Amino acid sequence: MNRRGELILIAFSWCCTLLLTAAVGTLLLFLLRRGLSAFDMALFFGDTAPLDALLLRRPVFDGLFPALFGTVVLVFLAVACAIPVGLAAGIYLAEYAAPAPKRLLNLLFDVLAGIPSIVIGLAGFALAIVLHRTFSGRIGPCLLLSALSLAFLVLPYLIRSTQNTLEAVDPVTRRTALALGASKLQNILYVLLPNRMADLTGGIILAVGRCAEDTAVIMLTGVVASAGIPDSLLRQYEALPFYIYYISSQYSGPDELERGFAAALVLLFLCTALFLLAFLAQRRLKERLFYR
Amino acid sequence: MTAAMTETAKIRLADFSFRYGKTEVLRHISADFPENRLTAIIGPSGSGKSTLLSVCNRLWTEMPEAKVHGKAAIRLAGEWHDLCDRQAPSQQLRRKVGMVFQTPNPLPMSIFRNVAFPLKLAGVGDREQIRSRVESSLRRTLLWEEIKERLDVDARRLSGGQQQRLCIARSLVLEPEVLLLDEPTSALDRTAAAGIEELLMRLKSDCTLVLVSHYLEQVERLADQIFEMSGGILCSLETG
Repeated sequence: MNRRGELILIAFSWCCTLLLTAAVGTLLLFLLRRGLSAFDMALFFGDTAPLDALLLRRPVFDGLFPALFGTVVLVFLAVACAIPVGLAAGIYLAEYAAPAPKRLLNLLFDVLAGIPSIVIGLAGFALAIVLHRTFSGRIGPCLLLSALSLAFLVLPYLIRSTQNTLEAVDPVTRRTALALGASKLQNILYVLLPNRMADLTGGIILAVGRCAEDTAVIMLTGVVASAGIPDSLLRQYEALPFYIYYISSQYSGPDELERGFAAALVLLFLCTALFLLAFLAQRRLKERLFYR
Repeated sequence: MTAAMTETAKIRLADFSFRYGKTEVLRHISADFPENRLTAIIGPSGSGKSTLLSVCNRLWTEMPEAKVHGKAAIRLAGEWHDLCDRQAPSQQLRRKVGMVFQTPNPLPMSIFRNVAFPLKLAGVGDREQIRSRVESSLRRTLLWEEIKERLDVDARRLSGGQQQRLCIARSLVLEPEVLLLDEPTSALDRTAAAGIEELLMRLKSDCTLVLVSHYLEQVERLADQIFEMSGGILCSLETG
């Protein structure tokens, strides 16, 4: 490519980066401007005393606390279900699968990744109906079912990121431990995975974000506008994305709309906190595995 | 294996061929590598030298497309092991046949944990034993005095020559009978290379060494026996 073409390409890349950054910045500023004024204790706890609410002594009727609680529990449950299965499947595909089953499974997981979340929600809903019939009304749409459906939704990302991560390990590192007498499993556990912890965490962060924001799946599998803090995993619950959706479609006044924006901010902060947590956990784990 | 096999041979190849996919990498090789000697293999890049090394610790079995013909065997603790058997368990064998790669490849962990790593893989749990074996291995590679104060520093922060000696120490910690060296000095400067050469001369007394090298000059200084590899064919050179 000649010098001028290169310059144009560089300028274009800069513009694209700038545009994207500006878009994110505008969105953040807009949310802050519209939602920040509603930020106070009452936003989270309504007229319940914060300490009573946090200790679950008294229910919160008019605040975001139950929705925040629901989303946090939902994300942790879903990711905890998805990580072991996703990692194991990714390891199988990268390290153990023979070429023919590998091709087939790659295709299947691509199909799975392409399923719209509303369809996975419908599948969860259908399962809820079956369970409802089988257990004569004792199990229906609930927190556990939502978490499992969400886990299913993010599974293909986790599988693919684990697989790609392992396949990207350079051949020298791959053979180092084997030449020192490591079994295949030892090589995976002691060298390949720890070496690639940062990339693996990247996949997990994507999954966390997806679990936190998805509305379609949970709408069909157990979230409701007002449920308080559920006392078991088999109860309905509240969640932030659904609250935002609910407010945006049927707010009754500017105050309520402002609370919707504030809820969006809370969701954003929550995701940031979760990402940070995943990142720190990764660093900590790496240190423990390698430097002690 | 036949009884006619000489007792001094550590590794024996007889009409051995190696294919990778459709490429024939090694052709009908017959050779003996004697015990407690340094055998050197020289030859241009891509002539199959490294492949021959990967046969000696059965690392070739990790390549799905590799195929072998003929006979290749190694004698460990007085017993012959078939190197052509893809199904045979290789962990025990690789613990007795160390390998050092061209570029120093310390794992991203501390110096101490790098050298102790093979012991961990072998399931040695006794901390005191691990400590003393790591120390003696680092002493054997003349690294102990230089780094004994900073054993918990990331091994990748050592100099190239130190890293390579660390990798040799890591291979030696299991007290292997054979050490395979794949151009161990080619990524190092002259002084560091001289350090490694000196080390190899000392190791020869109780370890069988197989050295792959580019430099005839280096090989003539070190080797008891020299082979030249060219186009997958191995032939013996006279040593002076």
